Amino acid sequence: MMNTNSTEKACHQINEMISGYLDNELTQQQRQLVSLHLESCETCQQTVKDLEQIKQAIKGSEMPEMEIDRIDAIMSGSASSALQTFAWSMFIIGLGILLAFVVLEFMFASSTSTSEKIVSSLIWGGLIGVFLSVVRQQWTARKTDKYKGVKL
Amino acid sequence: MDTRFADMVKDAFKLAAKIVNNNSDAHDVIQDAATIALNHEKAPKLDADNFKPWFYRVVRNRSIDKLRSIQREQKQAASNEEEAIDNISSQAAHTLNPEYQLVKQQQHTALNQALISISVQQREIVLLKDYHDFSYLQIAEILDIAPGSVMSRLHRSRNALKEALLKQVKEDKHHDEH
Repeated sequence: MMNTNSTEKACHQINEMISGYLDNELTQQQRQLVSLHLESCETCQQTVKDLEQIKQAIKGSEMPEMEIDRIDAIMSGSASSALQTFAWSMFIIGLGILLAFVVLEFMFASSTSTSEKIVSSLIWGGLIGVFLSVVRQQWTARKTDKYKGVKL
Repeated sequence: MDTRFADMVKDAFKLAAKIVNNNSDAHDVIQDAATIALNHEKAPKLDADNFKPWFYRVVRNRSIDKLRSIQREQKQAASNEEEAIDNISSQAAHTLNPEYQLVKQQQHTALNQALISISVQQREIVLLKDYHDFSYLQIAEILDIAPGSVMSRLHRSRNALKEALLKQVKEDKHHDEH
């Protein structure tokens, strides 16, 4: 009686380590503990065998294969999207530098009066602001739209 | 482009297909996941070690989202499943060595049926370890759980699969007798 109880307790202690044992994810100490227990416990030996068998069956099982067309679509899409990102960033960086240059030139040009500078900065600043907000709006719309592409 | 990425996409498709249990939805999931992977700011670089678990995490999360939306139309999903089983049996009927093929096919379907019958949480962790061969640490990353809980969750899931498989085999025998 005492003996069965203590074995059961040991099984309970080992329990999930059996999976760790199968997957080689135990510390050396844990591994020794499991090995020692397995030597004397047929129930746990059987569990190891069963789980190993299932593991192998899953490893060798046939899984659904992806359609080649769909892989090609993703791969060509990714190549062109990388190129697009690169091209856009070049364009935006160039535009930014140009803009900064023009603004500096204008602000430090002595021929224009201060009031003229203020009025035209307001107009141009406003225009650029509007433009950026529209771009942002379009951008978020495009993003959310992409994920709405669920066929019904 | 990178063939390694193509292989990764192909493998991840299998996980998605097993989670959503429908190939055409899995294709959509992978398409979305690949788009995210290639455009997301926080995505690791393609050749980085942590890219694969990160990508699987995206695929897994997308699959779960998809599954939720599918489950609203559960009737539709159920009929697809029946169709898939019909296809498998008609394929088996046309092969050269019918008896051998049938036994193999039965084993294959028993495992598949058992996999479908357990919960998604159980199914994904078993597949991540036994089919996709990720380490416990990577699995923790993919499923966003504590590394210390991977072993116990995996063990419980394997036991659930074992029970389901036994039940499946019993049912098959029962069918054969009648």
